[in-house]
Amino acid sequence: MALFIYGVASNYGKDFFTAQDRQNFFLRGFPGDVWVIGATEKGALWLAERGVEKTKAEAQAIVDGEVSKAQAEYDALPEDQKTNLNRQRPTAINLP
Amino acid sequence: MTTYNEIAGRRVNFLSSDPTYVDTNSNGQVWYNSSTATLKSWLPTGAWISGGNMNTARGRLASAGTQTAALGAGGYVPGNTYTNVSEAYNGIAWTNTPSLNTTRGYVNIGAVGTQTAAAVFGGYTGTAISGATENYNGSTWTTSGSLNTTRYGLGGAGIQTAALGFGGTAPGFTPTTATELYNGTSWTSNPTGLNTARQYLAGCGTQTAALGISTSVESFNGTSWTSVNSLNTPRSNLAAAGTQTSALAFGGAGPNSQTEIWNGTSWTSNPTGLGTARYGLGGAGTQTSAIGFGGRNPGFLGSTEEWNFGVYSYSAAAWASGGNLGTARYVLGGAGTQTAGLAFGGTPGSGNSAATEAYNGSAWTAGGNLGTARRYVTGAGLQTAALAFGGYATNYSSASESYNGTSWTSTPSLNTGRASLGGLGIQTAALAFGGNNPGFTTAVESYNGTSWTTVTSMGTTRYAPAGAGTQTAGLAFGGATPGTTPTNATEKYNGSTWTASGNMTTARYSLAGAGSQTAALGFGGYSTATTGATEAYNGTSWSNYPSMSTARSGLGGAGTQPLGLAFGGRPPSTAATEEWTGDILTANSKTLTTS
Repeated sequence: MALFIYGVASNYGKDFFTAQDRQNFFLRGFPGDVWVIGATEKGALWLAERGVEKTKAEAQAIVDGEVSKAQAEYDALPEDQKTNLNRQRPTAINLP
Repeated sequence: MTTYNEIAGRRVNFLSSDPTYVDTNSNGQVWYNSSTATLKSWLPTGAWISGGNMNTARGRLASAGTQTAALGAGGYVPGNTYTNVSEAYNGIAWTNTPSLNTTRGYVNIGAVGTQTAAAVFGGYTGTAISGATENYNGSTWTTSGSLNTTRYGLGGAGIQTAALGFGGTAPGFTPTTATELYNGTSWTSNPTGLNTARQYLAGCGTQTAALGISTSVESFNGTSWTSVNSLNTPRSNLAAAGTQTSALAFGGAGPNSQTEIWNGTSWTSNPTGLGTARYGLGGAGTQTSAIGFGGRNPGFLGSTEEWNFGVYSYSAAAWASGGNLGTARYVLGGAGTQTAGLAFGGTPGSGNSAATEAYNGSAWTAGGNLGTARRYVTGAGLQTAALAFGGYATNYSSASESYNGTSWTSTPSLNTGRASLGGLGIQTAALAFGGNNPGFTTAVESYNGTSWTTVTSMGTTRYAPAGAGTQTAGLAFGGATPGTTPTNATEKYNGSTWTASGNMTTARYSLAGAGSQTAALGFGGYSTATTGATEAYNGTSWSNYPSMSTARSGLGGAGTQPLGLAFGGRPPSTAATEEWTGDILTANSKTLTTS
């Protein structure tokens, strides 16, 4: 049985997730408004009310796209800024 | 054998049921519940919940203030550019304030000062490392004395007039140990610096008792730095809140979502972290009530998260939809409670309504009609013992009627006929105040179940105010003053005199009210537009809370501050009902076992 469900939901701010939500199910946000949610009834309801469920592959593709975008932004930086500000090239994020 | 009393300095209580009173000293309290034969203790928990989004998503920003009065300024934004935008948070939403004079990011990490007395220092402008310092007074940023050691990505702590800056990256792009003390005007170099030169470290605490947190942690005593225990997950680019002996560290490079709690000696990882892992974020507040905002993941974030820690779990206040009125209408009267409400009179758009409806917590049912159909009426009391008074029928009405749950009976009239008046109290001890006939009035009348008597007038002349409380502990708030100017004025009544109290945040009229003199709720009305804004009063001041889903004026209201009811209103004429549940704190306990 899957431990997580995956989805895309735009964080609208206050009450997007509550303390009760945090107690009720696993919840973690990723780039591209991707959320990984504990595969429970309450977790599924939370996502159903706020966004669209995706497969893990679809969600990972969105995250990969966002990381690629950030990597391209980093790659376009002048070399001195990469070095001088000790910026790190964004690395891949693998969804759980 | 060591006893619990010897360890914790308190004894295990023998109780027949779980304790009902919990306070900040309850953390660690252990008791034996003889009814369930279980050994129990309060369970401290901490969790991040979502807050209002910043207007400008960014990382590497400065912060100040508290969870409900925070400030975020400057930062790094998309396009490899920097911003001078400053925003203030009120616990619900971010609002832009005047901007920094020097556009920059990578400024001090760690809250310095309050929302209305903050300091921002150091940073990177995109072309140069900055030593600039700016003070904020709640309305303007003013450039002050620069750091002696120009740098970015430094730690910060303290307040505007006693701040601390340490570490970071100095010209030549080399990490520094330099520590400086700020007095609100100028910086003084401390003779000794950090033990380990570094950048992107977070600070918290005061000028003379601070923590510097990154891949290693150091503690400052006003003179020198001492290495202390490291985070469980050593990392830089994080945020911190709290004091030298009671701190919170969260987020960080990775991006990281972890939250760690410092007790002055060691760090403990909280089971749950930020909802969104991030680095380069802003942070402020205390160990038990913090805020994190902005940052990168590596996208640019504007989202905010609020941290609460204690034996309580917190459920934020909110409006939820209820059953619709049978007759959509506005400028109606209301009475009762959230699960036993009463709506009467008003107008559906043309003519006057005499309709009465009773609410049971889920649906409205028709009751007996008012003797005098009228709009702009007000009321007091309960669903089965209500009083309707004033309003406009074919003229300004002085009619007063009492309801027994089934039918209305005429009672002696008001001395001053009027519409759009405020009302409070119960069926046999009510108060009528303000309104128009047609000029606005300060007149107040008191009802004792037998007759209406003119009593001391209010200080503020007002039309369409709201009321809460009782005849001897009443509250009048909002309304419109002559010239149809919305007012936020609040007045308390003690049965004989009116006293001004804290103003509402949003001036408005044709709003509804509920609750008591020390715990009132004001919602809806018309300000510069129809509003669904909700505010709660604590006996002294008003605080903003989430708005109704349906913005409306001329609505009916009932209930209490924690359990309110809104129904009807305009525009257009609506039958919508919303139920208000205030903030709920629930004490969490756990059963102790030997396993």
